[in-house]
Amino acid sequence: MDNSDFYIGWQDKASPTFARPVRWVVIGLFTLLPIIAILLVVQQRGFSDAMFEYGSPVTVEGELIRKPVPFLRVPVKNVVGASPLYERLLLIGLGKHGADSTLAQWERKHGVLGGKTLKVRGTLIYHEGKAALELTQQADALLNVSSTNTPTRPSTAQSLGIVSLQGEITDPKCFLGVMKPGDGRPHRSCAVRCIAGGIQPLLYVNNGQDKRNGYLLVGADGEPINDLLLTYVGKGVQVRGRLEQVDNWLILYVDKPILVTRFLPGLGEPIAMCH
Amino acid sequence: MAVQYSPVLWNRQKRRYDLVILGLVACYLLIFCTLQAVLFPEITTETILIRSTSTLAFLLLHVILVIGPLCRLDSRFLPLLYNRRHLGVITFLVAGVHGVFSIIQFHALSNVDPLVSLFSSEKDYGRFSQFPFQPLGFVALLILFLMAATSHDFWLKNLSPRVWKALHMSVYAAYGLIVMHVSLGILQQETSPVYAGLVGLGLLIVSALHLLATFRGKRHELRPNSPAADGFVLVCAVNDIPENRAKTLLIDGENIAVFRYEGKLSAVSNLCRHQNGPLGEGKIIDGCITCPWHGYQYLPQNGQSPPPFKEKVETYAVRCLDNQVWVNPQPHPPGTELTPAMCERGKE
Repeated sequence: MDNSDFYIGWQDKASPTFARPVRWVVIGLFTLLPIIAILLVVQQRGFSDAMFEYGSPVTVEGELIRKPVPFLRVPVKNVVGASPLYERLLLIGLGKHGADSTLAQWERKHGVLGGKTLKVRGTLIYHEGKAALELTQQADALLNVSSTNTPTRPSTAQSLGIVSLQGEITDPKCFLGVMKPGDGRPHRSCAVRCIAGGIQPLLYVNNGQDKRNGYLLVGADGEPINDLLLTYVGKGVQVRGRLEQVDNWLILYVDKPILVTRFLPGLGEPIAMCH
Repeated sequence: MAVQYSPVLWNRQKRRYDLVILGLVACYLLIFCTLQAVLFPEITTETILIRSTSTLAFLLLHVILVIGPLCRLDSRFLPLLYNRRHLGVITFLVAGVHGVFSIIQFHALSNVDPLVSLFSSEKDYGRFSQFPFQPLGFVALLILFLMAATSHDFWLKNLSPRVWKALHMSVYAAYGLIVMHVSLGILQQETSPVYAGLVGLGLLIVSALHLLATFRGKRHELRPNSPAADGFVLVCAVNDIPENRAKTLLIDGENIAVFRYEGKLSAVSNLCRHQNGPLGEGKIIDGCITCPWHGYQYLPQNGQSPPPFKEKVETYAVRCLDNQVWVNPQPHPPGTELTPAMCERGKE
């Protein structure tokens, strides 16, 4: 009986009636899938050149600043001139945690550390003039505490007035380079977890062209407002508040954020570019 | 068909099928990952993994979904159906890599359990446009897992073909959830029309092929509505049934296949005991009705698989009067021997 018009899978060989079209399907798939792969990659919006030096910890020495957000203020090397220049490294904990619990551990052991010079080991995260230090080794990240307080240095906090800004609230850790992308819808839940875990919220303002900047958000009196902002994370918000520049960072003392569905012209312009 | 348990009944065609799938997977991942690394050197390894596996799993799911209707539209595509289960398992594994890496990336090392975080980090469950997209993907992954875990014939036999089939039809629910997952997630960030266009095109192809296959199936299916005589319903003329082939009919909820062979007529359930495959689209080979999906076989006069196999399907009484085929839609228990109706050859 001629069964060439019927397919039986457990037979050794399919008849040409079936083998031929299937061969074309296979060829088609081997052609189509690479084309789709190329399209999907090429059509991505791109990724920032932010950097997380994962696996390459560095040792940094600087003054610990506790309020309103924890920074390590370090002198910039190779600065020519009389007045010293400083940069601030935002201190961040391991994973999706702020640095507070690690700093509390240090202070339980060494007493109050604000204003003292610390030698700290951590992993650098940086993007467009802003940098953070992940305290990867947590309690063991503190290598040395100077016995005396750091001599008073000139205050660098500069008030920039009251501003209204529109942007997206994300977390500085991912935004500065731990994740690519560190903003937008797919990243929203991660940003919620980071901010709920104590990492300072950051307002990312982008005018859609080449101007963008990040602003650390704190309450009107410098208090943490992480919990208050959780419902706004990853969404378009308008924020009004008092802007202050501290070395290479901008801090916005927020009155109250407002959820926006459509961005207003002019409010998307990042200001006080400080890098 | 297996008498004894065996993890996989390998044969040449299954091996070739799997090699092709693995080749496709390797080819796609190699091209996607290499291009990502070359064109976007600033990207992280985690993002490459998450994006390459998500897009590949979504593409493979489309292939899985179009195989069924393609085979109903043109039986020459049946070899694609034969080992579709392995394609399903591989798709789940690829989707699983995407799911696990995404949960680690977005939810691990936080102040709550990753699975709690998955469902609670975003809370806008009441707003469609802001609906948390990650739980949708997670539920879809669970469905794919259930399907992959029960894909073996062991589960088919223990769950019964009807339950097993119903469970595996949930692939459509998984597909719907994934389309939502993609639309509410990555499409909100990757706003190139190519991304939205590809998702829309995929949805269109899957829907169109299913509609077409359903329409074509209904057109070929007999739905006799003449009054029953002595419990028998007029189906068609003998000559309407090709030799060694069948006509299928739906009557009183019974899905019946009437086969013509060696001058005789027999009717059995149209649903193969294995995966509810369409026996009526099969052929009588070596005296046995052979299912077009996986080659399961039954004797036409009693619906029993030839020894040593033990599968059985329902049988139906058939009459042939004046060259017309009559069937009694009252099913007999699976494996019941019924005398075939003799065709009136002289009038053919």
